Amino acid sequence: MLFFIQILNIILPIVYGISCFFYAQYFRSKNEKTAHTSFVFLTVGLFLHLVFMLIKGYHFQSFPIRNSFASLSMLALDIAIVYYIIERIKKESTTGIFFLSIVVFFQVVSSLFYQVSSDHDPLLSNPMFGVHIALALLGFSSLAISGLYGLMYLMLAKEIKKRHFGIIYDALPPLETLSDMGKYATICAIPLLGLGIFLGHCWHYKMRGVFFTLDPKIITTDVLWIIYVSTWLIIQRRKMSGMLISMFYFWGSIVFLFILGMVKFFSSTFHRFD
Amino acid sequence: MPSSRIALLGRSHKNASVEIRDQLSLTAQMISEFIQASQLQDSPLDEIAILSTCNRTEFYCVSKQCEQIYPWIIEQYSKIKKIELSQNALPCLILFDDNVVRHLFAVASGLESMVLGENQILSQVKSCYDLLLSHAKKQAPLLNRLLQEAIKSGKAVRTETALCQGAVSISLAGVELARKIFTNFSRHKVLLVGAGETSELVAMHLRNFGATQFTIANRSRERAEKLAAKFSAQIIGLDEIPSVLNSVDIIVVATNSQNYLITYEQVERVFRERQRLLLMLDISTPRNIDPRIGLQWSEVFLYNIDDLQNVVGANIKKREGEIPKSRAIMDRFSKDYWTWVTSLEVAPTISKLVKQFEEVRENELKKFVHKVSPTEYKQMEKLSNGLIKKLMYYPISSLNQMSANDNVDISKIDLISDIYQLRKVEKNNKVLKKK
Repeated sequence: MLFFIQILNIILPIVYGISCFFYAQYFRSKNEKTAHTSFVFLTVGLFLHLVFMLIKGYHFQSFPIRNSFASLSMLALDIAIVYYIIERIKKESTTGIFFLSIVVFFQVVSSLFYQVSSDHDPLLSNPMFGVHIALALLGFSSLAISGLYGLMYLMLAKEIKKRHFGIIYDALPPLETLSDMGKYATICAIPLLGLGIFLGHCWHYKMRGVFFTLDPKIITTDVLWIIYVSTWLIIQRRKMSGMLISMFYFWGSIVFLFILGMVKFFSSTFHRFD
Repeated sequence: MPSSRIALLGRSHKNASVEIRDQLSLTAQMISEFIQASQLQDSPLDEIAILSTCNRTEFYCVSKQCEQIYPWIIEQYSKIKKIELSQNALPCLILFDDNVVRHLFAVASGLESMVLGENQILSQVKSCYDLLLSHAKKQAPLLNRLLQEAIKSGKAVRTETALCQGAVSISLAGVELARKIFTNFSRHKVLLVGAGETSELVAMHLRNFGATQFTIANRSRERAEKLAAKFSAQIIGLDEIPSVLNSVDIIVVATNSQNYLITYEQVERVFRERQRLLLMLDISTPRNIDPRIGLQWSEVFLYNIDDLQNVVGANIKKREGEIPKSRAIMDRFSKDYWTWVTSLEVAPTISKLVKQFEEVRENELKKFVHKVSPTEYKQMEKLSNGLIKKLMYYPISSLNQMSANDNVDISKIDLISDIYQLRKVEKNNKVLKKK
């Protein structure tokens, strides 16, 4: 089984790399055949990646993020999954190059620094904790993707407004499409993060007998998620679109991820249940 | 190369006034009569294909008596179109052989068009090819293949370069901008202010990209009704414009009004509630939309005629930049065409035929080298030699006879090359040699 893990560890960055190459070609030439090829390679990459994660999980009897480099692979998988769903819904491949570049980068780093050692945090052997992490990572990936779509929208809108019909104008899809893609990413992010946070609380209840604790990281995550969802609901209710909602996608994800990153950096109590 | 030459006589927007072009233009029916006349015994032509559009009328001919082509065409004009062409009406553009091939490829690619890279010409070349196929009783292999290659070359230029990309008319430039903002026009309402030609053109392009919900506001109701009938549009008066501003997403204004028809205050009222994108195209001189609107709201994209003209100018420059790339593609197809033409010569065909039969013989014999005795092998060699010579006798003597009588039928040579796969075999041999 270790042999398969090692083989897939080499194959994955190659397959994603090929897909990324074709997405770059499509970005440049807008040839539909290239878009199809890149999507096929992305599908194959995703399938192999899922197999890779399942085999790793089964072999090491733990959720497959035993160290930072393994987490990068998990992040690559999450970004690829969310992007795959959005592309399937919108049938728009132009933005694939941006996300696949990130996927390739994460997967290459993860594969290069891959370690066979079976040492891991015992927490990772618990399925409930594994699902909590998987959902949270998927949620954060979706959030980051919606932020990137927000950024693309703002850049393109600025180009059109200023009558700069350059490379961004030529290459990116219409504003409405970018807005829709950002919306789908946000629609993925909200429930995934919500479920992830809820499972985290359940885990806390299981370990300590209480559903909630005054841990700064837990409070920050909960508050940020509530603010994000409330803002999103207000925007939906007012049927807002265009520039404002794209600013929300962009700044919302930046603020959410930045604050969480800061809290994680300055506090050391996160996910310690001993 | 057969003794026939490919020749081109014609006139286009580059060298003829619209009066001369009108005089020369031919309908599909007339073209079919030209083709049929070219196949009569007294015709100096072996093949003819005619490309007649509003910007050009060109005669692509294959003939052994090129000097007879012009008088023949003049004669046909008087018979078929019943007009006497003036002395200098036609032969402004006379090209031969490779220049004809390159010219037709350039025409099909849109390089010779009035608007660089326009798309319609490719379908016109296709129609020219269809007319040739449907009306030529005799085969016209050289022009048949030439038109096929021209269509392929035109398609390749369109897919491999950006020669035909980007709008080059004001109306299309406006729609191109709209396509960078909205994905699906069927979901959006369009307000046309003015019912003139410009409004109609923009509406037509928008409809081609899926727009279905049109509202027309015009001073004259009668004119608005005419346009509304074409686009199943709703009609309103100019004074009703403020009431629909909240529900429309694309506004096209093209009138001769001397005042702003859409004012800052009207839009300000709408944007107290509205937060959706709004595209405004002001194709009027003087402007009919207050320019402050475009600066005030981030959701409003307002463009005037100068902006659209700049888009057109930039696109034309981009297209011009693609010319060298397009020429390279045309060279590729031209080379393919002449390779094919060369394959139709009698002597090389015979030598390729002999070579191929010989190869088959040798390969089959090789299989028996170690299976039979040397004496038996020699006998087998003799037998196979005899067989091959007998099998080749009739095709070769028929080809030689054609050549001797100066009566080369290209279609027969083409058939022989196809049946024995001579081009494929030659290609494989070249690849093997290279390796």
